[in-house]
Amino acid sequence: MDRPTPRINSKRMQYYVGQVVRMTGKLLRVNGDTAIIESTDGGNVEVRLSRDSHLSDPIVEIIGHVEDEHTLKMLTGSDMGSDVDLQTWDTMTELMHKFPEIFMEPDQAKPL
Amino acid sequence: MSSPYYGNAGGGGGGGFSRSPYGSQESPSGNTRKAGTHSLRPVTVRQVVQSDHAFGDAEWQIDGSDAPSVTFVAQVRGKAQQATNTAFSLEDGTGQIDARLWSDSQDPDTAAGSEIENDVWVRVQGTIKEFNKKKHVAAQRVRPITDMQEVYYHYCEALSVHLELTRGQVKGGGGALTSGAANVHAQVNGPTNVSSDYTMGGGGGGTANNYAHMPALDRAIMQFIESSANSDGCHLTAISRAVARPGVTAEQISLALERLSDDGHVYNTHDDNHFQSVNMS
Repeated sequence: MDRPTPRINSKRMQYYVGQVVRMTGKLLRVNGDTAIIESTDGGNVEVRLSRDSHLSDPIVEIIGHVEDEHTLKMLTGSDMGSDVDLQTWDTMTELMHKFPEIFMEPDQAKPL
Repeated sequence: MSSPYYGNAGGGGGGGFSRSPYGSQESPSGNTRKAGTHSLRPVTVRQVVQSDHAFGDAEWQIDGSDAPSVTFVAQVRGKAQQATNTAFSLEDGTGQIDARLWSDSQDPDTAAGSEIENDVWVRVQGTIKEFNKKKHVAAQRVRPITDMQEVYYHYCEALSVHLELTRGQVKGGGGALTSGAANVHAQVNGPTNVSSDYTMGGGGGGTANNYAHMPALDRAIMQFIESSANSDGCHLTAISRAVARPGVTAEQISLALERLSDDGHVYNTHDDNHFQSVNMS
């Protein structure tokens, strides 16, 4: 991971096609090798799970490759417990893009 | 006032003290007091990677102020147990850094950090080191994070400190960027925030930025004392009148003055009720 993996929410997916990102969200359902997560901004994203995925918590963070604006191909992921305040984290995600200097390369930020 | 007790700004590097800690305007950071020798900075891994120092033994600097000790959160991506220490490869989404946790000399049989597994989120506290042009962190502590809120909280804290050190000072007069820092504080601490009652860059003119790192009340007091330019200093009642705001009690004002006096910003003139700024004469 030479380049930072920017944290994004569902409405930023379209700008990150082809890039590796991190997304936190609520695990809504798992169906075979795909899962639906509700991103911090409320939008749903389809996650193509990695073969060794072992997500189990209600809140997860996915590191993945953005395939298109709705689909994330998971590289790895981690359980983030059950009581993360997603709204607060969404605000923080926005701030990360507003003040990217300590979080990512300047060209990776997408302030909306 | 050139007492070493007041001048000890903990500036690292050059050592010694300057007569007035705020006289050194050429310094990129007027904030060396706050980031004293033992301060612990919440940072992102990216900030560690980008930290810099003036020469070999100089203190590492982040955002232009000394960072002798840092703390961050990260995920363990690799781990190598060695005889006397454990090396971790850590990554937090902003960058990657190696950290070394030395075994406890009291307890050499227990490998340091043996309970920490790959992909676990950890909280690290340590100092930045460089060896063969490659940075690593000499960790004093590496502990697994159990409450994931800590990860998210840490980014809020790191951003808030970063903004305070950079935007808050450089553009002290402009509201937009400072309010960014205030916003983060508000999100972390809740909406009750006295500082919203004070606008920055009031009476203090050019010197106002030197106090940007202070609590709003302390800053208002310093600005009032300096703007009144009275060679005898200002009387407590005049200060209280000037900085009076709804919700600010007389007790808070005298506590603030006590703090400013302890920190060497103000001193008493002809009696205990008159205060003068060390930058005035």
